[in-house]
Amino acid sequence: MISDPAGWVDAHGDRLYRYALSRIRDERAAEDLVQDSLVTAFKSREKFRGDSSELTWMTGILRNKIFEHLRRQSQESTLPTIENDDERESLLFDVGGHWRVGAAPRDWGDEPHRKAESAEFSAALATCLDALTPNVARAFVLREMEGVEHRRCAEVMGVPPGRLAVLLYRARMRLRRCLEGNYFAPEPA
Amino acid sequence: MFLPDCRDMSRLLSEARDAGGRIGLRMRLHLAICDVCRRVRAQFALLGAAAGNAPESGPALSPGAKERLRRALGGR
Repeated sequence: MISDPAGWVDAHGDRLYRYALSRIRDERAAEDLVQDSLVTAFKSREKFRGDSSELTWMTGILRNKIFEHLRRQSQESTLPTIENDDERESLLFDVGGHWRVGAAPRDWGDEPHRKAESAEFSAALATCLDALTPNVARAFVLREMEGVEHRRCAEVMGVPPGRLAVLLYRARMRLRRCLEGNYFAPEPA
Repeated sequence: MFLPDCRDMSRLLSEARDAGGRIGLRMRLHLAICDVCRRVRAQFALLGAAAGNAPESGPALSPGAKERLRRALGGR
C-alpha cells in the first residue's frame, strides 16, 4: 500500500536528494531530478505493488533519471581533456615503470571496509569526486556507483570502450590517491 | 617471460575490474612478488564497493526546495 503523496517530500525527499547529489554533484540538478522522480512516482503510483519499500521504488525511478541526466551530459560534452590530461598518472612512476618513492600506495590500515561505512568517508568521496574532470567523474559514477555494465557505459557516454577504460583508470587512480591522502591514510602533519 | 611493470599493472588491474576480475598469468606472477600492486588491486576493489554503498551524507533539501517539490506534486 502506497502512502499518501502529501507526505512524500517529508518522508523521502532528503534521502532521494542526498542520493542524487552524491552522483550528480550539482545541487540544482539534484533537486530537479528528485522533483522529476516524485512526479513520475505520483503518476505511476498505481503500479507500485509493494514488492519493495516505497523508498526503494522511488530510488529506482531516481536512478533512471540520473542515468538519463548523465547520458545527456555526456552527449553535450566535447571531451576536451581526454588527450591532454595523460601526464598525471605517468608522474607516479619512474622510467622503469616502478612506483616512485612517495607515490606508492600506502597501507590503509586495519579494516578499511569498515572505515568506508562512515559518513566521513562519504564526505571525503564527494570532495574527491569534485576534484575529477566531469567526464572522468561521470565514468566512475556510472560504472562503479551505479553498476552500469562496461560496454553499456561506453554507449551511454558516447565513447569507444577503450576510451572508457582510460577514463576509468584515471578515476580509480585519482580517487585512490585522493582518498588515501584525505581519509584512509593521511600523511602526518 | 616478461612481466608487466607496476605502471602496466595499475592499468591492467583497472581494466580487470571491468572484465569480471579476470587476470592473466603474467599479472598473477607480478602480484605474487609485488605487495604494492596487491595493495592497488585491493584498494581499487574497495573503492568500487564502498563508493556504490557509501552511507548517506551531505545536505538535506532546503525548506524552499521542499516547498517547490510539494508544489510540483500539486500540493498533494
